[in-house]
Amino acid sequence: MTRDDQLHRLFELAVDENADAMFRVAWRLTGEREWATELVQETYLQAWQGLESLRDRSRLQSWMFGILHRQYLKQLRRKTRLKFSIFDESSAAEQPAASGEKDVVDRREQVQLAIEQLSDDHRLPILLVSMEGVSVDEAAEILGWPRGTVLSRLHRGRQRLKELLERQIDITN
Amino acid sequence: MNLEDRELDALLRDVPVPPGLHDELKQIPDEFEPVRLHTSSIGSWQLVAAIAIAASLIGIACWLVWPEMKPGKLEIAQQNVVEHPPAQVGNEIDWLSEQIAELAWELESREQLAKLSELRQAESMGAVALQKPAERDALTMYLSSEAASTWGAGNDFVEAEMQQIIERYPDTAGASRAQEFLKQSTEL
Repeated sequence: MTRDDQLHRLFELAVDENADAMFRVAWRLTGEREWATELVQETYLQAWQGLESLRDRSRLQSWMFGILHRQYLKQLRRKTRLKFSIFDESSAAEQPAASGEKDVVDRREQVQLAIEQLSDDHRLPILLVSMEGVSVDEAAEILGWPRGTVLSRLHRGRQRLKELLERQIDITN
Repeated sequence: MNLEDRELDALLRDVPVPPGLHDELKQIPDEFEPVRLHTSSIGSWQLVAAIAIAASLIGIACWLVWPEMKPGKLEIAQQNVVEHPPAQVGNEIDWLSEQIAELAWELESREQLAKLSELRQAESMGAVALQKPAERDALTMYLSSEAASTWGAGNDFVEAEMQQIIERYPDTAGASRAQEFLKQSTEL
């Protein structure tokens, strides 16, 4: 197998194993389907162009989360951030409001609204550690924070997110 | 209502992934190839600046490493760097020019005139920058530092580089962009 073949295979693996997780984190960060897709595409483009520089292939996922995080910050600098509902017109069109699905859609929207109320400092460790199962040490490396900071922000963020969601669910009920 | 930890995690993970995303991503290697340069082997700032600007215009990553940088500072960029002799660099520029021309045509055909105008503005900025050494060096250093940030260089390193651009090349477009970068980093 040539070097190029190996790189192509590694890239396919990166898509198969990590693309869903990348999209979930991107969506939770941006709150917008189109932007999340763009962020994931840009992350994979950067990953492809730098794949040869990845020394330890067992760290593929955390390396990619690192790129996603930096791309997010970069795009955030360039965009005027607009708040969109989790389901914009295009995604609503793809998912017609069947009566049984409405509750699911409402619940997703509630979760996204609660996440958007958190600062990035609290949101990022929740998305990486709680949502995607990245270890605290890896999250510390991806975010460039000390381990203790990740832990304390994770704890405080989760508490705050729970409070927000419990309040919303109580109101809905 | 009290949310259990596992309920919270399940709610967080409930995100519908767009169908076709995997297939779309898997096409990336067919459409993009990395461009790698080693400036110390080229020895011409002008060529490097031209390539950096052209690369940024068409949205591809351009790895830049220059002799002033201490070894290890840009270790990600320095790995597997292909050294191009000057003759080949000329080919790279030709190739990049073709890409720009192609992109401009596509933009025009899609009537995205605003983007085209932005592209041309950036091109002329590049042309001006190449004529003035300070502008040229500041812009090259800025583009490289921004690329380093994308590739995973630490915040401290990138911020120090940006600070150096501001101090070394005051009143240049590169310094303004470095200043803006630092301002926005602080805001984040």
